[in-house]
Amino acid sequence: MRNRRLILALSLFASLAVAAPNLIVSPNGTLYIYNPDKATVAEMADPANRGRWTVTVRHSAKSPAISLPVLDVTAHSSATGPNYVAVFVDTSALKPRDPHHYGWTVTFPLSTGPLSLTVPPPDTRFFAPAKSKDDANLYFFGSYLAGEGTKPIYSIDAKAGYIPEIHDSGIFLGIEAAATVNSGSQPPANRTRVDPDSITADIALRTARGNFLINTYPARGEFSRKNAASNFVPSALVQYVPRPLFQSPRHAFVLYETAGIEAGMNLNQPASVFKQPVDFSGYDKILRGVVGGYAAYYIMKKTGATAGDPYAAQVSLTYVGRILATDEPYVTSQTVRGAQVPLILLDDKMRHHIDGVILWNVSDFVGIQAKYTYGALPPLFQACAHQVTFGITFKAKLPGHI
Amino acid sequence: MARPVLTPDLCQNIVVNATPNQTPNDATQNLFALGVVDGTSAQIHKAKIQAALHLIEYRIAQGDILSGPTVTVDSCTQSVLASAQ
Repeated sequence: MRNRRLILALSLFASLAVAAPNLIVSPNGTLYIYNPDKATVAEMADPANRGRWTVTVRHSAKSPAISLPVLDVTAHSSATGPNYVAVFVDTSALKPRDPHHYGWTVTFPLSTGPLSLTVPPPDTRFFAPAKSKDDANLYFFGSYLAGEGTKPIYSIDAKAGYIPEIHDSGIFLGIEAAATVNSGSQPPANRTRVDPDSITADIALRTARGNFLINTYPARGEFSRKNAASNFVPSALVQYVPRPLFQSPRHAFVLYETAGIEAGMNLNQPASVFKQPVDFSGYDKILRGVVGGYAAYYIMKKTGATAGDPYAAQVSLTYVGRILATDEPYVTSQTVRGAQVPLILLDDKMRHHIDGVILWNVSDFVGIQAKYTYGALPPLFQACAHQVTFGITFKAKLPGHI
Repeated sequence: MARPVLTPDLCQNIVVNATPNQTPNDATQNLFALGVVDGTSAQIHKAKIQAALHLIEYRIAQGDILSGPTVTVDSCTQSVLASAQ
């Protein structure tokens, strides 16, 4: 009985592990049936059975079907290459000729049961469903925060962007924005105030050449809502993405370096910062050199890795250094008679910012994330000293029907 | 260069040659093993596939290419074959 259960479980696993046949239509009009059942490949490729294939196309779901003659059927099998059955058809009746403008249906009466595979007609609506989620990105992270010299407070990071590709040019153009709430709280913090203190918004233009990612921001704004400061700082950044420094089937260590420039002007200066009057009269033009790096160690999941959740664990560190050519604000704090008071400067010292993330998927249901932040971000470069946030993620999928 | 017939084998060669490690073909291998370990390296991988297709006079949008650490060589190849024009 126990053995029967084991066999049943193994056969269920095997049936789940074997991919179902699927139909791919090449730009040349050749049809490729991937993952064919090995037991039926010979039957499909047998020249005597060529007349039993039927191939029909439709320009749209409502248009009449056009039957196309099958010219040849061949089977390809390789230990390392793709395994497929190729069905060659006469596409001379297609107008327009591009086979991707049609929906396809292929049928073949296998001895084990009829094979029927389809590729639906292309969706030509303007607001068609997205093929992938690469273009649109939304990110939200809320956390409980404990930092040096501050009482625990809440922190919210939110990012949103829509940067689609211009046709198939390899050039991406779009908009994105990011807001951080209370990440650079002025100690001591006795309460949580939902008031974004760091906001950026930009028009982004992206492309890749070789191993370089080129990010340009022809229009980019930096805002600090608490202190009414804002900058217009277009920028250009180049990131070098070499092969991993260390690589095994489940582990990888990468280091990507970044360099660029930020140049623009101050738009709006606060008259006071944290209730202290300030004089930022020399704060006008902005020119910064940017250097940075992203280092990460990834450990892939043994099983159950998905596109949105591929790693069992991930440790990453992002550094951004801004070399200032002009004086810019710097907001930090100092201890005066045992109390923390804001210290506001205007200088051209290099500004550093470090973000670290440790992500550990304890199980398929529970993940732990720790974030570390140090340094200062524009526009006011409000210093954040060793801020640590922890988050726990619970993931579960409910049944689709009851 | 004349436009060649786009076959599964040609697509797989393009997909593998665009990875950082370019190790021998194995259709069932995931791209992590070939050096496409995160979203950033997947962007580079897609751009290299697109550039390689342009060289042989085919066009493809990067959004139509499946790439990433969990994507197999086979799945990536099929996405290229199904979407190249």
